[in-house]
Formats: sequence, C-alpha cells, structure tokens
Amino acid sequence: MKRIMLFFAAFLLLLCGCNSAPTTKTVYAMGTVMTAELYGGSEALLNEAFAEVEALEKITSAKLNESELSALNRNGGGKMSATLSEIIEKSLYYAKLTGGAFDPTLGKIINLWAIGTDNARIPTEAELSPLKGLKSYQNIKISDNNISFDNTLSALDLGAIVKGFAGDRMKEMLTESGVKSAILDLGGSITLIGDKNGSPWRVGITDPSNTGRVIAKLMLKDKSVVTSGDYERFLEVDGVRYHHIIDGETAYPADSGLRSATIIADSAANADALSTACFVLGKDKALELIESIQGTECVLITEALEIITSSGIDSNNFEVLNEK
Amino acid sequence: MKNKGAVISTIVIASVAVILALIWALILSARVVNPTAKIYQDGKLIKTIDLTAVAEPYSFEITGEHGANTIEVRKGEIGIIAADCPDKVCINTGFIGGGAIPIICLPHRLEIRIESGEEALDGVAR
Repeated sequence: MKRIMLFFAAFLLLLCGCNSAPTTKTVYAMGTVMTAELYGGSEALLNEAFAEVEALEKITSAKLNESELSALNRNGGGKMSATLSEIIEKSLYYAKLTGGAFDPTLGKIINLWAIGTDNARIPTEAELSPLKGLKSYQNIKISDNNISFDNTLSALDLGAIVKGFAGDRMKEMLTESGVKSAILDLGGSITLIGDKNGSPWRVGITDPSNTGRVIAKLMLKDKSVVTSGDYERFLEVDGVRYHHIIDGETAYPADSGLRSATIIADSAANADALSTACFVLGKDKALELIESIQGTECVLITEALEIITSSGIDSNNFEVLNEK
Repeated sequence: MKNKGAVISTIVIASVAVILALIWALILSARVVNPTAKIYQDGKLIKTIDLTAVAEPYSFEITGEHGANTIEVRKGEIGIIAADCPDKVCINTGFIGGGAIPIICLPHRLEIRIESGEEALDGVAR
C-alpha cells in the first residue's frame, strides 16, 4: 500500500511540475514591447526587473530630451553615470572591434532618416555628405567618468546595444534572486535563463520574406539571441525600401546582401552590437568576425534567403523550418 | 503468502499506472486548443477570435486613444490591413496563424497573439 501511495504522490508531483504556469508580464519600454516569462519567480520580482529597464531608458534614450544621453549630445560631453559609462565603453569596444560596422556615434544620420517615426524621409545628399565615413567613435575622449566629443557632426545613439544591455541587467537581477528558468523577450531580443523543464528553449528566427512566420529554430540554454533585420522598421519610397540599420560609411541603410543577422552569445549586449555589425559587414566578413569570437555563433540570411551558419551551429541546436 | 501479496500489489500498481496514464493523456489533449487570436490593447485582452470558426473573411476596426487599426480575419489567420500609425510595422508583419510571432502596433499599444496549443516555439528573435 505504501508503494502505491508513493507512486501516486510521485505522479501528482510530476503532474504539478508540468502544469506550473509561468509568471508573465508585458511592458512597453525603449520603443518596443517587452515580455518576460518566469518559471519559479514572483510578479514582484518581474516588476523590479522591468523597473530597472525603465530606469535604463531614462538614462540612455536619444529620443527623451531629459535623458542623460541627450544632455551629453547637447553639450558635446559631460560627466557620465556609472551605468551610462559602462554602456558607452562597451559600445566603443565593439565599434573598434568591428571597424565601425557597429558605431554608436551615428545619431545625426539616424535623426535625419528618422525611420519608424512620422518624420521619416530620404535625407538630401547635401545633408548626408558631411556625415559619411567619419568614424567619430575614434575621436571620443573618456577620462574617469567624463566624456567629450565633437557634437557638430556626431551624436551618440545607443539604440543598437541598449536593449541587449537591458536583457543582461534583467538576467543578472533575476538569477541573483534565485530564478533558474526564464525567457525574456525585449522587442525580439531574446535572453534565456537556464532551460525549460530540463529541455532547451526553442527560439525561432523570423523569415525575412514573410515576417509572420519563422524560417528556422534554435534550441538553446542560458544564451541570448539577437537579430538585426531589414524588415522591422523601414521607409518605402517609390517601391524602394529604406530600412533602419545605417552604414556609417555611406550614411545610407546598409546594403551588404544580408536580410538578417542573428547572433547567439552569452551576453545580450554583445549579441546586440554584433548583430548590427554583422548585418552591415555582409556574410563573408561577418562569418570571419564571429568565428574569431569564442562562444559566439551566428545565423545569416542573405537576400536570396540562403541560410549561412557559423561552425558551432549544428543539428543539435538548429533546425531549418521553412527554407526557400 | 508474501509472494501473493507482492503479485497483488504489482497488479494494483500497474492498474493505477494505466489509469493515470489515461488521465494524463486526457489532460494533454484538453490543452490543445483551436488556433485562437487574442487581441490586447494597452496590455489588456479585449477580443478573442477562434480562427477555425471563420466562415467568410471579415474586417473590423479597433480604435483607442492612440489611433485606429483595421483588422482582417480569415480562416486560420489574422492581420492588420490598415492603421494610422507612423511606422506601419503592424501591417508589414502580414498575416499570422500560429507560431510565436505576434503582430504589434507599438504606437497604438495594440497586440495580436495566436494561442494554438502547439507551443512549438518559446520565443522568436526578430
């Protein structure tokens, strides 16, 4: 009888485990929708984590006049908080590593295009010409927590890294509070904590030719996945699509032959910066870059919808679902 | 006598296991639902549509304090076909009928998500 009872109890425990619903929360922050699913964490904890994201936005947004970043852009520098300093230092590291393919100083060009806003337009050649190929990240001076730069031709815009940074911050906060299983979706930038009931998380990669479906699936534990693609925000004029990922060399939307670049890394901020860089670099240089960084992988999709993967992507962690 | 007791005990355990397996199968099958579109405005669920029960395509407008979106429902899929938002990301997403990709109109705080019971993906990088 004891054995029967034990068996029954074990079964009930298993059943409860399978049915345990995650704690979820959705917020609008950093110009996007953010959703988090926690397995084994409280709503109060999620609120705290999202409050951190909102605080980050108030520091780093180039769109909010009252943000710390906007003040730096107005004044050509100034004193930075520890958080802003950390993000800018990381941005400059990736700008140098990628030869400017990722460049946090393209704010003036991004503002001229204004893609994704009411003011989106194709800037004139006269407007863009003085801003091309400046590589202004090379001229930024940082001493202690002070930064200075020439704000007549450049402005800081951290939009290509800050969502990733937010994902890392949330992950850090949640794991320190004992969360062992969660998926954070910060506007399509995915950060994974642990696994899902002992199995890998299944993360889709958007099909650039039909954004309502996925083209491939990654099976991962405790990683971050970030995609840069030409299909999310764009301006269409006379049948020509101008997307939002700017190449500093041309001051135009990057035209590297890629439709999207997905990076898998331990840090979402690193994945975020590298996804933009890879999109701008194109498949050959992007692959070379990713192969040189330990623990980082990529999935690149070309204009012909060819799928190119780095050496650490295989059938154990990747599956093509809808190949053209 | 002891052996007889063990045999009975084993038979009872086996029977309970079969019954529980059947209950489990029933629970799992109950979880699979028809693909259902859930429309959220400002994070609140405002409309639920069973996409398998659509006989003829139809459209309707959702107006909120941020603007208006026209939604078209077809058998098995749903999409936004018009919106007065600046970026038109919601229209560009196209029609969805499953998977984990939502349609999001950020300026209007409007989201459409599909619940299919398949749970094939936990998230989508985009």
